[in-house]
Amino acid sequence: MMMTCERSRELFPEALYSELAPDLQNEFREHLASCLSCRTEFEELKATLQFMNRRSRPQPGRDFLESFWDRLSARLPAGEKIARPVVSGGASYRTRPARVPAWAYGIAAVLLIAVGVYLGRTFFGGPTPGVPRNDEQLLSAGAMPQEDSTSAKAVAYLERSKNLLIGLTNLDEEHRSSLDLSRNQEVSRELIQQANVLTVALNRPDQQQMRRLIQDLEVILLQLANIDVKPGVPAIELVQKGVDQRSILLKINLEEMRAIARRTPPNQPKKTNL
Amino acid sequence: MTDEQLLIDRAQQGDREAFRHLVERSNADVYRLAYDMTRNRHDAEDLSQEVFIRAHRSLANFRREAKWSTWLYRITVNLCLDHRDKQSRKRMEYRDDTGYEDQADGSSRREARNSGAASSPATSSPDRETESVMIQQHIEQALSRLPAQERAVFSLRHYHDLPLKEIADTMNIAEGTVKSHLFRALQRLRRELAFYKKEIGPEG
Repeated sequence: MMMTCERSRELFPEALYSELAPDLQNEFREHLASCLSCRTEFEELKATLQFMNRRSRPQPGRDFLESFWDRLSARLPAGEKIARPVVSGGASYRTRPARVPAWAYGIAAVLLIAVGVYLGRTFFGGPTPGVPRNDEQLLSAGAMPQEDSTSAKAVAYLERSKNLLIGLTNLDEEHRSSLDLSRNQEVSRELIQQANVLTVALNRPDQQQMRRLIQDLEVILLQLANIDVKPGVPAIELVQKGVDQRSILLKINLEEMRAIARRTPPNQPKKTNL
Repeated sequence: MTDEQLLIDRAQQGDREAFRHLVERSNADVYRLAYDMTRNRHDAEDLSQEVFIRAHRSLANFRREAKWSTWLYRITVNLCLDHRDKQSRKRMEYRDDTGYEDQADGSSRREARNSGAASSPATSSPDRETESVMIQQHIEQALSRLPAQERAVFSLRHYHDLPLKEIADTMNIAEGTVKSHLFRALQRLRRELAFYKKEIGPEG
């Protein structure tokens, strides 16, 4: 059946902006070819649109654009968080220092430290109330020197990550399809959460090696956590490659890490019974 | 993950620099849409700021499958329509301000000259300039006379290149309504610019 004029006019907006469904195009063209009134109107509208292209669109002034962020930024709520590293990489962008008053950084730093301490105590079993925290007090009270708890947690963390990655990197073609990736991803996510706390807590100079390793691992664990759960996907190879490239497993020398954990922090008197 | 998605992810995590980049890559477009809707330079500037304040406030609600620009346009359209309602309540008679004459840098006049030069090679230079300025004024006037909804639809489709479906999402109206707004807008523009019929007519 031939398209009616009413129907044809309904289709004008789509047809004028090349959005007409392919199955309607022929019928629409045929109607225009046979109907002078619709054809004339369509052509006039088309010409009007072409004429509208001659409009010089008002441009925002240079001052407006240049001061845009400063004005906006002053009206946005404060509380800038530090961006966490993003794994999927490739894309990067230029950064410019935001105009934040110096005192705001001070407050932010204090808050961050407070949050870090709170999380550290909550997740890694800090000292129970009433127990002296200071190691000097420990010694003077005659307590046995103890393994530094953050480092010990870090060692446990590295060991767990290492086991997880060894399992994955040693996975051969044959077993890849039967791998339950979701369990590994769950462990990864758990480890990533711990990494956030640990990297804040590992602040002594002698703990920096552990800190770097944990950060390196975090990148791989994030990759693992973000893989689409499909058995045998090449994404596992990506994780394996990441592990190889960073020689991460070789770097996780657990004995060495344990030695660091047992070592006395530099600002404390040397313990005699090690 | 695209560069834009990466920035959005970061901004959602509270990275202000990432948000800044998102703002700076879209504030001119938001301004132009706000201008098309309000027809007033100062209102467009104020509303553009307001758009990003709202965007920042509801950043957590932004879903990855949505398009950043479409999302911003939605906020812009809503704000501009609200603004118009408030203005209408303030003044029963809403006067359009094309803003065309008050451009400090005269860029539009310059562009007007350029665009005019391409179309009427036969006329002499001063005539061409006058004619081109006149055309710009008539176009702005024709746009100003469109009802706000029709103007929003036309601006989004014609100048922001949003497909009809996306306009429907942006304005939260049915696609059929978008088409009828657009059709009516086109008919009005054709009538308003009938003066140029000879110049823009189907055959030349």
